[in-house]
Amino acid sequence: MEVTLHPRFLDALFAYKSQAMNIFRDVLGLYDIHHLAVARVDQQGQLISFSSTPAMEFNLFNSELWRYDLCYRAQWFTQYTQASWAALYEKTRYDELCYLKQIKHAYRTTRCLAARMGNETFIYALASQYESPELEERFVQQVDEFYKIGQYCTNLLLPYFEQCETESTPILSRMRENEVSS
Amino acid sequence: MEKVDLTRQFACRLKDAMLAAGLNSGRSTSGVCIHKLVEITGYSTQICRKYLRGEAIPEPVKLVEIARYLKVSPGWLLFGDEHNDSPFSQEILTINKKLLQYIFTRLRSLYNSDADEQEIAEFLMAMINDISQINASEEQSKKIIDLAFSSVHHFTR
Repeated sequence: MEVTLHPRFLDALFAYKSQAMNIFRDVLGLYDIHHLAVARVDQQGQLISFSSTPAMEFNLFNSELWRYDLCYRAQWFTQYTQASWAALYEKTRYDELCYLKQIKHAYRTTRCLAARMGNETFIYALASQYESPELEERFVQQVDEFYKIGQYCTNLLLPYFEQCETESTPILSRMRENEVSS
Repeated sequence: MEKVDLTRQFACRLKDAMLAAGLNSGRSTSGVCIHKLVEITGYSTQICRKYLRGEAIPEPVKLVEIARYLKVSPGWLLFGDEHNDSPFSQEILTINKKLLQYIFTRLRSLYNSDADEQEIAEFLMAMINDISQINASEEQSKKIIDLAFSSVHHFTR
C-alpha cells in the first residue's frame, strides 16, 4: 500500500485545534507523556493526523521529510507493533528527523505504536521530555496502557476524522501545492 | 541538504561556538581546545577530532549536551536554525511581530465565545507556541492562525 497525504492533512492539524486540545488535555501528563499524536491511515492509504504538538507534524509533512520516517510506511505499521521514534528514521535523513521531531521540542523518550481499528490503521506517537532508564522501561513494558490512551483519544477524535471527509476545500494543502509547483 | 555539507557546516558552527565560549587554543590546528570537547562529550580525542574536521556529527543526545555547555541552540549547532529550540529557552517564545499582531486582531472572536478565561489563555499560548515553531511563510502562518481561530466555537465539548 502506498501512503499518501489526505487532501486536508495540513488543515486538519489546526482547523480542530481547540477540540484536539480538549481531548489531549485529558491524557497529557499521564505516565509523563508530553506529546501525543493520532494518525489514521484509511483503506485507500490516505494519512491524516491530530496532534498535541501540531507544529511538529506541520514541519514534518510540509517538508516531505515524513517519507523518510518508517512509522508512515505500510511495511512497518501493518505489523501492528511498536518502536522508539528514532528506530524508525531512515539513516539518510536521521539527523533532520531527530532534530525536527525530538531536539526541537525536547522530546527525549519516545514511542510509536500501530493499532488496527476496523479497516483502518491508527498510529499513536507518544513522547516525554523526561529521560530515565525507568521511563524507557515503562514505555516498553506498559505498552498496553499506552495503547489504551491512544484508543481513548482516537474514539473522541473519530467525529473530527469524519468531518475531514465532508468539509470544505483545503487551504494549507493547496498553498503547499502551489509553492511546490511554482 | 547533503550529509557532507551538513557535517562540515556543523564543524564550522561548533568551532565558532567553542571560540565564543573562550575555548580557543593556539597550539591546535583547529584553533579550539579539543581536550575541552573531549571533556564535554566524554568521547575520545579521535572522535572529537572528527567532529571538528567535519567528518562526523554526534548523536542527538550528545549534540544537546554540547549545545547546553556552549550555551547555543542545538538547532543552530546542527542546521544553523535560529528557531526557538534551545533547552535553556523553553520558557521563552520567539515570534514574528507581524504574526503576533495578526493574532491580536483576531482576539475579539475568542472573548465573544463561551470559553472561560483560563481556556482562552491556554488556547492562545498553544497557538503562539505553534506559530513560533512552525517553518512556514507569513502567508501560510496567517492561514494557520485563521484555521485555529475558526475552531474556537467548539471550545466546550
